[in-house]
Amino acid sequence: MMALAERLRAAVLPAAFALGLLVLWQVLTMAFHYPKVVMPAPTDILAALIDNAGTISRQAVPTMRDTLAGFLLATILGVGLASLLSFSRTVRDAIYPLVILLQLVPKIAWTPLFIVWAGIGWPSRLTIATFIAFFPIFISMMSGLEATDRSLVRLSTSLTATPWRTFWLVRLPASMPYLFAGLKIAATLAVIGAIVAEFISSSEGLGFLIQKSAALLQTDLILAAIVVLCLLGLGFYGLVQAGETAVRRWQGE
Amino acid sequence: MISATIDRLAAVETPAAGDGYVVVDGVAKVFNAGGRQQVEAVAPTSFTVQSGEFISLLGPSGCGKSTLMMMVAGLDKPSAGTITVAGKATVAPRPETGIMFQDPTLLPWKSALENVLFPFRAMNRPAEPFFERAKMLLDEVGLKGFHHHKPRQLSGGMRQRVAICRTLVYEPDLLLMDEPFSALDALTRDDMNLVLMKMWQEHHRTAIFVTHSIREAVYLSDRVLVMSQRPGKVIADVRIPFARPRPLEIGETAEFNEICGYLRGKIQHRPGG
Repeated sequence: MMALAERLRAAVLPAAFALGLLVLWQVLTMAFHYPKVVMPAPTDILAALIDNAGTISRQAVPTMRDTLAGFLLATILGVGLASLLSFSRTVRDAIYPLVILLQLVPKIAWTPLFIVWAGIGWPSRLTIATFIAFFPIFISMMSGLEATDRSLVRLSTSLTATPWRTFWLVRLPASMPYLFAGLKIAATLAVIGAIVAEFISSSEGLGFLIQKSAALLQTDLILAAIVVLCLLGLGFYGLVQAGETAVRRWQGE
Repeated sequence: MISATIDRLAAVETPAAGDGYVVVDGVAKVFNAGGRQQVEAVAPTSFTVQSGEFISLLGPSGCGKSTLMMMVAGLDKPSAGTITVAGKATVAPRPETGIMFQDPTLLPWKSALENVLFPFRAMNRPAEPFFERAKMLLDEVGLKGFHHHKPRQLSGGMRQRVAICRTLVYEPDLLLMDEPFSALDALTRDDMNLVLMKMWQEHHRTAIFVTHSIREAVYLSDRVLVMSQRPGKVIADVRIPFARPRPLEIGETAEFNEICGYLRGKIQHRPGG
């Protein structure tokens, strides 16, 4: 009973606060007669959302596709490279510092270069989303593999397990909590990557829609697209969270 | 009476190297401590363990006894000397050796039963034929009804019992135990010593037990090898005369305490210092 009340409180409190903000926003825009082009009221945004439902959902498809594909590709590359480096100290010491150095550069700065290399279109957008999402996944997986209880690894070695078996039985499952921390960051970064790519080089997607709407001073449509992006991001994050819960349950927590 | 016992203890001679199950011959270990600095962890030392014998390596903290054990396990390479187990030089971990570490080293995401069966998974051998044996071992150490509990649901003592079962399940011929009970409270520790004794007697194996507890060493062992301060080497080899099975109460006998006192004197002795 107490737990349920606590959970309700956790859901109701932020929802009520957000609703309060929306009402305040509505009242202020109405009371001060802000031009719609500068600050549309929540009702204007809702109207734009309904009027342009077809366009928005059509444009959401490529954004979602690039985000998901970039995220998946980044997961494969990040987990793969980190796993590879965990097998050889020499390879790790040679490559790891370089990757860290690379990740210190603002990733967005590479975008124009990727467009030069991959052209305007989905390949460059996929590259950018992948590139941005890669680093948190790689680095968290790397920390997970390196943080594995050394005595567990030693036990496995003493039982004459091959390095590959030790990886599969001990290191990989032990690094799961770290990996999911990275995946959650990567999930939001992949969306950023896809949108930024669409800003620069696209004729489709929500990022493109936002930019086009800005040029046409359709502020309400920009905000409508942002609302949809917000929902997409939330759904995506929820998906990763569900994956983590599933893995945890499988690991018996 | 007392001096007679001490004479008897001191008169034990190390058997000649070469005829034992585990033969440690002139083994030394030097670590690189960064730069040109070198730390001598184990000074050249030799000893022999007969088949079926339970011996303890007893010494102060940091005397290199764990390092010596890791070298016998094949997890670490000696800087000098050779180690032979069952007639073969040790260069890598062998599947017939069972090791227990200071902590239970259980996979947190696996149940007690699955942890006991972990050796088969690590060795890439089918575990199914050993299910019954694993369950029997868990029951024997008093974990009936806890087979499917996760390590975090078990107490420290229970976790170490799971580790004992995991070490015995694949019937190793040599048991290496590196201060396995040092993280437990005194009462649990007595309890674990009883469990270990019972298991050792039922599944008779050659055993090397590393500890810094004099009483634990005397209670468990056939022979106690005393190691010096770092760089460690074996400075005394004492045979423990008590018959088995040994009740915990022998710890209160005069002879037990006399042996403990003798060993304490040996440990505190600092050559040249």
